[in-house]
Amino acid sequence: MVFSSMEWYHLLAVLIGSLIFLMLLGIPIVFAFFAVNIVGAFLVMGGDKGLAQLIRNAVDATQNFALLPIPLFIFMGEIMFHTGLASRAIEAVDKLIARIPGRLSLVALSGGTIFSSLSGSTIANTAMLGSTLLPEMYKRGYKPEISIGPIVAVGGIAMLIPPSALAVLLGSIARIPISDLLLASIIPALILVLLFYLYITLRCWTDPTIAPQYDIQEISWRERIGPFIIYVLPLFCIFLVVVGSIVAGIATPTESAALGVTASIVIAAMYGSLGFKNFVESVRQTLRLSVMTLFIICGSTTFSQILAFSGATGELATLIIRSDWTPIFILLGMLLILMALGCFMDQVSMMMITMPLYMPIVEQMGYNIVWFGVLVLLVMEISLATPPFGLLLFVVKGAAPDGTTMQQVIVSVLPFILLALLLVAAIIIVPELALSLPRLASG
Amino acid sequence: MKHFFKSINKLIDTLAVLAGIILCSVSLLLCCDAVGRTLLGFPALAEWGYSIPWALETAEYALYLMTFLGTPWVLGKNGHIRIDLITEILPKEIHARLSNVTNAIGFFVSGILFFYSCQVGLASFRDKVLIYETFVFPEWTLLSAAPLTFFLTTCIFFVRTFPSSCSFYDKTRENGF
Repeated sequence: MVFSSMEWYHLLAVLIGSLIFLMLLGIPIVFAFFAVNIVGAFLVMGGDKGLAQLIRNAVDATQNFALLPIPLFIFMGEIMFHTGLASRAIEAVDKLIARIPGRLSLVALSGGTIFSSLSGSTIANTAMLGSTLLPEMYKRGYKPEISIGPIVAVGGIAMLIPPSALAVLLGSIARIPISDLLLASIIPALILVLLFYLYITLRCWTDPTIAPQYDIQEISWRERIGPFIIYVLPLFCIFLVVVGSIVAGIATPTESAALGVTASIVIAAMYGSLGFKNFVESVRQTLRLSVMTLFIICGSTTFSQILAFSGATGELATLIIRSDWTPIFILLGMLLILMALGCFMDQVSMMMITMPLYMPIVEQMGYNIVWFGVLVLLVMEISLATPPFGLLLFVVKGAAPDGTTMQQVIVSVLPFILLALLLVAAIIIVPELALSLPRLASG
Repeated sequence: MKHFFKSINKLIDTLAVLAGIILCSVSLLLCCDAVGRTLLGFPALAEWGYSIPWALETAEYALYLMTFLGTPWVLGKNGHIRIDLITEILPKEIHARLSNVTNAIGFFVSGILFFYSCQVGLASFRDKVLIYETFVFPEWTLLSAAPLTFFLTTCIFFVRTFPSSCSFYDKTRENGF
């Protein structure tokens, strides 16, 4: 094996260096992953056999029931978009909160929080909101710097607000009491929502050109509330179908997503806007976004498997733990590793690789595991949106209208990342932000 | 050559339609499964209730097939995202040359993946490997989607890498091929 003559850090540098180089050349992300996977599999997994294994890994990666909500939630969003349900609902909410600066960004934040909380897949939500809300915002003259950020940022809230599928997954992998973890996440999530709302409002208030106040007719309260009842409340039926089926134990998250698709089709038909043309266009766009997203997951999962097989990720963690650093620096080191891994891995792979290594150390250092779990959830989500290679950045760019550049995406997302990092710092300094609710519940 | 690439284009479109049908079918299947199981939960309606035991496994295969069959079409439409941070600020001439290089890399990567996916599929066929789950079937039938996908992506990158040799194919290239 060629890898036996290489140190793990050389291999890590070669793989990550090549990946970054190929991506910067402008190769489609997924083919950059596959190019590096070919080199990695050849070096680490034994030449020809490794390359054959690479094919098997790529095939297996997509045969995962947990990934099914991604195309289904995108499908749900596309149906709402192409049949006009989404734009009518946005107009209705827009009328209701007509006088607040940056109202569409706030609508994106509110809608995104609901959508992403339901699906548990931030990638699916980012893709769906990017394709449904961004065109509306651009049409209204919103600048990319205030329209893209909220769509990517809501993912962080979604990971925290129950029911968060990823929180449940983290609890089971890291053996953290799931009910405590869900309760502990609520206050940080509310703080994050408040910070994002404040930022958007202040930003749009100080610079009205980024979110122009388009012509608003003076209308009565009845005219404001009427469209809300007609166009927004029926959409809550879709949310109710999705959440209700999970809460009632009728369906798994994947099945609830399928129920959500059916509910959107039924409601669109009731409005008389579900034509064959709209339906086909919804399928086309769903296919474009979900195939792109799933194929990236296919590439990044294989990449993470190669890293795990070589032991590079494990060695990297060990290096930090064995240093003479104080516990707080070790904690920051662990969170930093998660941030770095988020550049090329999905949350599930990150959890699978790091948690078995992290949890014994956390317990040895005497940290509260529930508190640590909340930090991990937050940091994992931040890592997915962190420039320059966070997966959500590419997803939102893929879903955004033509002409949106990666620079615009990054500039828009950065302030939200900083606010989320501020919250991470606050939770580290004041653990009660996370721990007060579980303690209250346990009496 | 002209007929060959026209057939390829038709195949890509056909596979995309198949992927779309798979998407709709899997949505319907999972919805029926959830509703059926719920009906089964109510004693009065039990005789009409029906949970589909093969739904989960089928949905997993469907997701894999949808992804692989749809990939050439998405690539053909330039739907696979790429980082444009650097390429956007380059002069047009350098940008064009760089595009040739990246397409050539894509061609080689797809070619290697095609070669090894063929090998994996053939080995499975030779060894008569079976998948034993709810359904029992030869593994190569499932694996065969991968070589097909990578063959088509290789063709797409070939046309983009050597546009002069395929100049007759302007109509297809306008569609993003």
